[in-house]
This record gives sequence, C-alpha cells and structure tokens, in this order.
Amino acid sequence: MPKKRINVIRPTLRQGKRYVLLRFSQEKSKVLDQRSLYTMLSNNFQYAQGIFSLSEAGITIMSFEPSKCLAIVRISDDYLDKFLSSLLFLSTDLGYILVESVKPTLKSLQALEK
Amino acid sequence: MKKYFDIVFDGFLKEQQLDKISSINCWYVVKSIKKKEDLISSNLPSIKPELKKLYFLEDLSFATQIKNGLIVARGRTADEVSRILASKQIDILANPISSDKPIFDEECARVASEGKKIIAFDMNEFRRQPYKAIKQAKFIITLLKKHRVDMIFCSFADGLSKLVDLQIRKSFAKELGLEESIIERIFDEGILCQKKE
Repeated sequence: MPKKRINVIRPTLRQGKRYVLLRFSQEKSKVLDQRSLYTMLSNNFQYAQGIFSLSEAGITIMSFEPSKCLAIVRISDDYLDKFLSSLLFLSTDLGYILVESVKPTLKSLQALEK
Repeated sequence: MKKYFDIVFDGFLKEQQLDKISSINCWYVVKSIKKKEDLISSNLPSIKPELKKLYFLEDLSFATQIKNGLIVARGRTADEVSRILASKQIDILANPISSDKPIFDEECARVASEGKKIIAFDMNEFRRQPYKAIKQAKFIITLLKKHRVDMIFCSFADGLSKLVDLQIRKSFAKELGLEESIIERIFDEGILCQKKE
C-alpha cells in the first residue's frame, strides 16, 4: 500500500491554544517557583472568572525563568481574553505585568524569548 | 503604524524608563492643577517615546485659564459631573465610577454626546472596588454606546505597579462588552488627536 502523506495541521487549528509570554516587573517574582506562579495565576483567574471557567481554560505554565522575570503560559484560545483581563487583579502580587506576546505555537514564542 | 497611548501622572516619569514599555508609543502626562502657580508651563523632557501634556483640574474654575492642551477633570458627585460635561473647556471626564451611588446617568450621556466629550475609565478603579466598578462601568458603557460617546481606558498610574498593560486593557474592555471595532478605535491615539484639533 502506498504511503499516504498526512498534511500538517495549521498551528491556528491545533486545539485552539494560545501561548502568552509574560514579563513581571516586581522583584518578588524572582523568589517564586513554577508551582507557586501557577497557584497564583489560577487562583486569580478563579477569583475573576469562576471555577467553571478555570476548569475549561486549561492554564499551564510552559516555562518560568525567575531570574529574567519571564513566564510562558498556555491557555485555551476561547479563554484568552478572560485570562488577560484577570491579570489586572494580579498586579499587587507581581507588580507591572507586561504581555509581551501572544502566539499560536510555543516555537514562535521561544524564538521571541531568545 | 498604529499609535497606542496611555495616561500617567507626572510623578511616574521620574522613576521609569518609558522606552522599555514597547507596546505604548505615546504617553500623555497629567499635570495636576491645584493652584494658580501650577498653570505656569513646565516643559516635558524630550525623550522617546513621545510625551504629551494633559491638564488635570482639581478646581474647575481654572478651566478658562488654559488656552491650549487637553483638559481632564474628575467629578466626585453627580453635580460635579454635570458641571464638567456642561463646560466647553473640559475635554475629558475622568472616572465616572463612584464608590457610593452612581453619578453618571442617561442625561449625562446625552450632554456628553452634545459636547463631544470623552469619558475616561481609570483602570485602577477596577482594582480598588471590582464588583461596584464593573457593575457601574457596564451600565455606563451601554449609555455611551447608545449616545455614541467616545470612551478611553487608561492607567492614570503614578508608579509602575499601577500601570496596566495595553493587552490587559484591551481584553478588559472586551470583557465589558465592547466590540472589536470599537476597541481598535478607542485605544488608538487618534481619538485624542481629533479632540485637540
């Protein structure tokens, strides 16, 4: 049987995920670890949007570099705006939060980070 | 290229390097006018990105003494809001959200539409009293949309921790029920440039 070439799925169609590169201004973020950052982001999201949204949003910390105050967060595309708007209430803990970039693939974001 | 803007207090300039915040390419710096001496012009440093002056009136009687430049004022009571909207000199009403009873109603929206005023929402107000501010903002936004009044969402920050990123402000505006087309227009600096002309 001849081999059938499978077309590559376009990044924008892959499970509707978005990768967000965040930069924190506060020195406090340097003493955080990935787990405590996740707790902080998910608790804040739950405070702003509710527990049902949190379960569907699928917040995942892909990478966190405390020394550079940089984090890459994966989120469902449908909840991107809800997630970004919830960051307004997080600033007391992490200072000024800069949304550096939002990309459909992790690869494109990691290239930016470097 | 689109020019995105934010409004900050002059104290903010002393501690920050604005060029590091790449998403904003035009900063409006608030100069508070509390007494007559504050009217004496002090020039802003010429740095990149661009800095523009905005007068923030604590006392509405100074409005007639400012000849050029955008004037913003904040009303704490319904009467003050009505006076600001009726004034020909004042361009922007800052923060129509009150900590007590609502101070902005349909009549205010109608007067604002006639006077071509801009309503500026202070993002830090949503941090101070989220429940009340979101509830009042949603109500005010429906009135502003109905009467075609321009609105803007700004940080009014006096320090870096109070600054709100452009993406966060845009997403927040979307969550408050604004359409994409309106959002693109109200975050562009052109909205304030038109007012100046």
